[in-house]
Amino acid sequence: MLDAAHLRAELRSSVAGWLGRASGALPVAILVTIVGVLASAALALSSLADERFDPALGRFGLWPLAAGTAATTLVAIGLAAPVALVAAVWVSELAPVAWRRPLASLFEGLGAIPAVVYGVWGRFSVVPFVRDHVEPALTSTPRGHGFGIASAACVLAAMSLPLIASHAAAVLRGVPEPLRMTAFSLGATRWRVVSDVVLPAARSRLFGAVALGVGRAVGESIAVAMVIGGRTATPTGFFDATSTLAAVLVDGYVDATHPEHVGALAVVALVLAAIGGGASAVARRFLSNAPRPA
Amino acid sequence: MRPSRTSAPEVSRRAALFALGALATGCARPGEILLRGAGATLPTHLYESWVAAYGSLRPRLRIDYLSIGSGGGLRQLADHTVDFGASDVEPDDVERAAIADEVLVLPVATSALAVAVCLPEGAGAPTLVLDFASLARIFTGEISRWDDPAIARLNPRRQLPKRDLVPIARSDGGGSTAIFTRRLAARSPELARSVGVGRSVTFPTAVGARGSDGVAATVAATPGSIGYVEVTHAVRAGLEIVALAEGDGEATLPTVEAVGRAITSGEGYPLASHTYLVALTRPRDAITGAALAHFVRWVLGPGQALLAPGEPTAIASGFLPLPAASAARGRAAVAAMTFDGRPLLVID
Repeated sequence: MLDAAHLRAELRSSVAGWLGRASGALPVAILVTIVGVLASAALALSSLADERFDPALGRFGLWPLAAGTAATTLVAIGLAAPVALVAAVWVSELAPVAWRRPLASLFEGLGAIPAVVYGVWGRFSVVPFVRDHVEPALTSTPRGHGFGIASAACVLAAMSLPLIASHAAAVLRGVPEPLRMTAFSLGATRWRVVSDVVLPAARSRLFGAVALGVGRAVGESIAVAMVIGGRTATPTGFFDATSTLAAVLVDGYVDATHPEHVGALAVVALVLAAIGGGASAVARRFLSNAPRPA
Repeated sequence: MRPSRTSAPEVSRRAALFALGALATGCARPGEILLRGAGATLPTHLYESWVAAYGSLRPRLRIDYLSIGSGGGLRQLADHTVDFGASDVEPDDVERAAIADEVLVLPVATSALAVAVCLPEGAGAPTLVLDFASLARIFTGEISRWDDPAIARLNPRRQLPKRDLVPIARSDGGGSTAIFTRRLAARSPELARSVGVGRSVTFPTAVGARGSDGVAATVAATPGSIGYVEVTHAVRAGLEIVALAEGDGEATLPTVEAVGRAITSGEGYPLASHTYLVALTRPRDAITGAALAHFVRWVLGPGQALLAPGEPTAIASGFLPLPAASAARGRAAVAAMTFDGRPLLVID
């Protein structure tokens, strides 16, 4: 016999089932839509291998942007990763126990600051500092404006540092306590435990934390656009104004009207989506590795 | 099946309306006529003051203006999601082709670009003078120092700093870049070849900043810099403005008088320009078409008074009135707009 309560329960579970399926399908649908829209816009495009990205001249080569992205990301991660890893070791292994949790929260908080705030800081602090102090100290012919790879890399380093550090600290905290205890019981010093036991056990997962930082640096748009000096020319020096894949999107999308320009931006967006997805996949792959004894 | 009071399509239509209403406030209330406009950021204040003044005459009309950039406005017009677009430059052939329908491009106000510099050493010195030839060579990177002979020749009474030039340009697409490159390219084949003409260009040595206020702020903060911004931005940022000569003519500053003279006679300040309203010649329906036609006729008539030099609205918007003749031409074009053969201005 079918009573009302039973019917209601059945209805609820089938509604829940449909909702569940719908929300599972939604990200897939969004992805398909993104790729579809971008790919259809990208079809309008003729040449991407050009050495210039110059919408007014109808040239849409991605090389200058790829070069700008690679340069800023490499320098930023080169600056941020070592510092972040040292900070993570200190926070999770060496700092007084009472400090560890507040410090870890600090890193997470810094990582959660909106990118545009880093951009403002870059624009008003980093750019003048690079212009007045860093560039004159390092080159004989300073360009005199401070916008460029150096400033963008500093901003990206500041943004990636807390992200890498907080993930790396979490990775280190995840190294099983018995490993440390065993080493201590064999008479190892605290430093030897860190360098010979904890770090080797966490190595591949630390690589995952750095990959997250790379993903953030590659994909960052507005903060970079504010300090890189938005010129879509292949950089030849550390202090050159240039642009990146992400920055050219934020600079270009508002006013792009010509189909080829829109198409080029769509290709840039696809490339960025692929790099971002790739970096995240790599990061997850490494972060999920179980810690193991060296 | 129990007969329902509301049919299924009606329910879904209401649901859709509700969803749209929640997303966008751009829905006309009952009895209200809504005109939707979108485009250039520069004339935002201009449209706001027009909308406020005209709205008090027509309480049932609502005009929404979204400042999303000239190109964005033209795209919205091509998609028929707005009733008029606003652009700092006339749409080019590709943009006109993208808008499948015929469009009416009307200048609605006068503006001017300033070339602004940051030369901290120059306080109290005579006005800096540049001609288009040297300006083009600065922006192609041929002239890279302030004490270049080409600049010194134009400024015999001014001590020029021994500094590198830092050209500042828009990194985002912008009408100011389009006007600047179009005017310079007409005088400099080299700039036309190596930089091109358009809203998104790459100057070989310039540093890009976002938006006109970004350019003004970057010029202000970078000693040795030179950039192009709308006069109002340069004035607000307190920048030193350069007197310009197009050919061998006399160099002029962008004063109200010189800009007005340039617009009416072609002689005067060489970077004077217009801001344009772009509308489809075939509106989506008679009511909005008529509302738009009346609004534009007002803009080109009494609305121009808001831009008279000295008016608070003129100072806030940074625009000047059109010459009387071109406003009259615009009003005539509006009077010629029809819907199903009926002149739109007859419909009220």
